[in-house]
Amino acid sequence: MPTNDPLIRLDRVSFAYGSDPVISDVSMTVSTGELIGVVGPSGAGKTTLLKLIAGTEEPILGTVQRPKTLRIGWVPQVETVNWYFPVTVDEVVLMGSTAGGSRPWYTSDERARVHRLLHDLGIGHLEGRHIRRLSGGQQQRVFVARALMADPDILILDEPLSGVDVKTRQDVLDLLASLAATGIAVILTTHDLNGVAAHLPRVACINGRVVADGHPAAVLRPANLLETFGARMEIIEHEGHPIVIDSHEQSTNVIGLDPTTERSRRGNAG
Amino acid sequence: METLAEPFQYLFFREGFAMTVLAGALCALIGTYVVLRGMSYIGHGLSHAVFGGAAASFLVGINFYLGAGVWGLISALMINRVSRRRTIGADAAIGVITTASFAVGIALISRNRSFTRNFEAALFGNVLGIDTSQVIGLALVSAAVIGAIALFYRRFLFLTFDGEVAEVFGLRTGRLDALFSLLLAASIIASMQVLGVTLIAAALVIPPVSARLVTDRFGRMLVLAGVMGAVTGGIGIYLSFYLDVASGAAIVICQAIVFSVLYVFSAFFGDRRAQLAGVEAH
Repeated sequence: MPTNDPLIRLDRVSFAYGSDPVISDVSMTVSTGELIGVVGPSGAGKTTLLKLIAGTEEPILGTVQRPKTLRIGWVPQVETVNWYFPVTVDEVVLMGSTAGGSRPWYTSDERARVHRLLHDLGIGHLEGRHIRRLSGGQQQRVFVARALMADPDILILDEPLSGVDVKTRQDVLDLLASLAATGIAVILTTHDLNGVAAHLPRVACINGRVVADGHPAAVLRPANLLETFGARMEIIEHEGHPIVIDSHEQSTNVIGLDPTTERSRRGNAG
Repeated sequence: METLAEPFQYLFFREGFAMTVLAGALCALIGTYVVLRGMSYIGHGLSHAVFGGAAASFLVGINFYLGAGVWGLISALMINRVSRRRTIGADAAIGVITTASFAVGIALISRNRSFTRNFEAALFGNVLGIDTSQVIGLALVSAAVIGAIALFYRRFLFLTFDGEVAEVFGLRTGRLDALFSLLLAASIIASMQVLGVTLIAAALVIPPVSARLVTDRFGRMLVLAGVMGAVTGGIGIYLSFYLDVASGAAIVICQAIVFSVLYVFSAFFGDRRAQLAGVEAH
């Protein structure tokens, strides 16, 4: 369950790659047991925000406060994983305890823990299988298991829902909710607005800055989505959850470009 | 039987045999990490870079291993540093740094003709010119590399699989990279006398790629590559004795034959295309 004790606090944080600003003046807190979804368009700074939270990037302005002994479990984007690397499920999961391992070799305790974790995540029968020979959902679970091997205070997931089917999406979100309930802070980035609306208690819309942050019903509103994505969307409600649907209205109007002027500009350029 | 044992009557062959078996295994072990990190070209490049250091140390009159070692380590560290900038990439970083270093070696040699004979030996390897101290040197480097791999097996595996994420999990990836660069440079320098600058790259790459064709587990790949490197090293020098061809070339041809056989074998019994694609694409 979420507590009011902030585990990580970002205070007016800005970051840039070279001279290109990525995020500006971001303030937010992440508390123990929270489950947070970060949404925004591509290039909005979602992954950068995760890196700032994890401490692999340092802000150019502002501060990030985190406990010195913070243990982080990171689940990477599946697109960044080399699925042909000669490594099996158990070997990947054992990587999670590498930094904290006191021995150069894997101990029987560690192997027993891997076995237990995989069993708890429903993939115990895949222990010795090569990572390429798994379904999308199973692959996600392997990397969640690796993150859990680090016994993390916070679990950070970069696009865990990309490219997975509806059932897998639900399974992954349910799994993350159950992990948050054990006291682990969980933060993930996603493009799946309806997934976060239905499953997560907190969502942050970002586009270079935090546009809105809070309960999905309060955050997922047309004005916030327009400001975040530059696209008009409509919200309907179903069983208390907001559902985001695309609008037929052209987005160029709503972000302040007149279609006539835009056509004229393209014509001149071309 | 006596005919088969004949080469071992000679000290030079016994020392050469020990050197090639050790160098084959050493290059294959360290090469497993090199291949999986997508830096196959580094062996080719770094051996050329080390050549610049060898030439410089010869001219200023300092120990060959010291000069080449320091030069090679600096080159490897620079490659690691430059390749972290994604706008450049590992392959281009290797190309720039090692060819520049090689060019320095050529420039120094062209001003001092007395180095020409050593130059040829460094390029193509000369197993006949070795002495006991070089065998001991290679044995010490091999022991150090095997020890480091055993001690840092888990850390090197994570670093090789996903260095960026390994850092998030608390691994000191900068230090590990530096240690790996040191081991790689030492391996290349210690093996240069046997294999030569031009053939070290093959000894680093072919056994690991061959091993990858027959296993999906990292640990097995590492051991298999080492065994293949050692066995092909031994067979290679043995054949070179009877066929009267350069030992480095004989070793690499043996390794290429093993690769070809396994490639064909895996076409029928394994998923060779996918495995090769993984090795190349990473």
